[in-house]
Amino acid sequence: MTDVRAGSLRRRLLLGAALWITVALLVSGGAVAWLLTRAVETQVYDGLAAEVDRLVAAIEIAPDRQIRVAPLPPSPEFAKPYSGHYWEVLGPAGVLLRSRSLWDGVLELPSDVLADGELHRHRGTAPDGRPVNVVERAVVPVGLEHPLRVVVAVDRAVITEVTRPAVVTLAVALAILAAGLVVAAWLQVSAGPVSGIALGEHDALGGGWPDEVAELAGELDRVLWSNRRMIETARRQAADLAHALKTRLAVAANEADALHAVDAQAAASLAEELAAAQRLLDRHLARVRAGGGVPGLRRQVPAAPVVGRVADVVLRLSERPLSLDRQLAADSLFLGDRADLEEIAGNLLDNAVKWAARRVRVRVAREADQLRFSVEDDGPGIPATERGRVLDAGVRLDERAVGSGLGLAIVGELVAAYGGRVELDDSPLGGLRVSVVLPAIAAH
Amino acid sequence: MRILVVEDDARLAQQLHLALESAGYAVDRCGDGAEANFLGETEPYDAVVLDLGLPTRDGLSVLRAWRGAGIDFPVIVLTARDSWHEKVEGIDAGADDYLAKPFRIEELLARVRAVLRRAGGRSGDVMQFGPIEIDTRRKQVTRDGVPVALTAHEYRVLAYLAHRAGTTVSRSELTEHIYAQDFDRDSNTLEVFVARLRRKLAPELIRTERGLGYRLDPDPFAAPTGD
Repeated sequence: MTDVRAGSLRRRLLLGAALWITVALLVSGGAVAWLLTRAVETQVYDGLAAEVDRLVAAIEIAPDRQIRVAPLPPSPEFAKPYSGHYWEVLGPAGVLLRSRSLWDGVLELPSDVLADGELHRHRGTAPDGRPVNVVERAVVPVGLEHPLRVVVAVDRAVITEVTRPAVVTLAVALAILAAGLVVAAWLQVSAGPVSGIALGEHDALGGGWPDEVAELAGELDRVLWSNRRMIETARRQAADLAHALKTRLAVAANEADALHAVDAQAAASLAEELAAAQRLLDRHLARVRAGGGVPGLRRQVPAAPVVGRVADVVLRLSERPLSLDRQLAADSLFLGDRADLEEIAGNLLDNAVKWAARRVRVRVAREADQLRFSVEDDGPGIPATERGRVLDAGVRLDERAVGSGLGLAIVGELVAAYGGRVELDDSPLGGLRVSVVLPAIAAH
Repeated sequence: MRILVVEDDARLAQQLHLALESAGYAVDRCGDGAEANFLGETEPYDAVVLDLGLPTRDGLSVLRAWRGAGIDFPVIVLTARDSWHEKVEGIDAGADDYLAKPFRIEELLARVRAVLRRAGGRSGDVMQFGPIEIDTRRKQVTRDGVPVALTAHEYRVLAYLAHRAGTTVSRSELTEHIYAQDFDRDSNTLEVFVARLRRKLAPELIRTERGLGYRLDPDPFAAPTGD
């Protein structure tokens, strides 16, 4: 479950969501704008039709068969040149009368044949080249044989002027809606339980997924579950094997002790071999137990109570009258297997308790997304030149305190499994300070 | 002092049995969790050596059951499962000490002495009663520095009375703590042991409380205070 994969999946989901939200909102926004424009257009056409009827009513045929319009439409727009409001009266030969606003130009109209009294709508062009909406009616006034086309037109800008503020408002509202939806999609995608598993907050993805994802989530959960089971089985088998082997070792070691009276040298070398076998067993067991590399086994473990409890047990088992200084920050977390933290703490504290003269200090603190855990004592310490060797397998710098070398080597193994590090330096108390840096929060 | 050894490996159990017996303890042995649970609930042991990996019932659950029932004899957990996680778990379950396999018998004997010492509220392996000295580590009794030879049963009677120094120990309690379970007990022999101890060490060392039992005072040779 690498973060790279989770990240790209998240990005793809997010991109897809953003795309669909944009398309859906564009389509619905376009439809609303179109309907709005249609409604305004219809109103404008109705207004134009009324003007046409007024014009028709104002047409007079003089006895000389001259046609005139009296009175002229009262609207001042028809008098102002290129105002955007125009009218014309056309005979079979062309334009007979026109509004002053047309100046000396004419409207460009599609050719049309209308029955008497019929009303038509068109798109046309004004003399200044701008698009116009047109309504015309054909009439055959008394005294004429041929029909007249009475035309009223208005600049389309008049329509746009009415609709633009509404369309702009609509666009802004839809853009805000789109942004909100994309943010919601991002929250939905990024706060999923997949990252929760890496963070140690969940064991499984669980149910409640959309059908398309449910199958995959279920499959993943089965893999996680069998993974965990496999590791637990392996650990249990290792523990069982160790139990059996160590019991045999215990019997053999006691036999070696009994042999001491007969052949001291043979008994000693036998005991040495048995001790070496035990160290080997301990070391490999520690390696098997290290759950650090397995994300499914990682949990967010509060470090302070775990370390505190281990310190209690170490002190109790050692029976040494030491003063233990605890500096355990309550917010310190460890991302991993609780048993591994207990093992690290137990080994470090056990070492310190064996070597300390009077004082031991244990400290747990959170450093950014890491846990810093240190144990120090006022014992003899380890010379700087020897420190590198201590973390090697089972090197004992002094045989006085049994098993101390192995303890640090086990800590080294465990810490390495978590990608952490071990630091050895001088303690202000006078002895050795061992510091361990471990992951606390998953790196993204 | 009577000790229960719970260990399913027959060979190791045998070694432990012999070592503890020669250190002066009465020893019961069992290799099964359910049986151990029953024995712990019915017999008054002074300490228990408990292996965790047992057939029929896990040692930790047996330990929790004992503690849950208010049984408070000291328990030394003996196990190959020696990770710190398991040690913490063992102590939390009520163990008094934890010994990882493989171990040296001397180490186990020292731990047994330590838990008994703590249970009796003493600080050392040597108990002093006037001129009489009982060294539980060497299983040796001296009078004015001169070793006194005691039989195994005489030593057990003395060690138990010394362990409970200052309190009156009934004959039945004494019997239960000096004999192993399968031993053919005869309470009359108790009087014989006490009589021999008085003769070998000092007549005033062990007092008889009529109808109640025996008592070893912390300072049996002090002048009577009058109360």
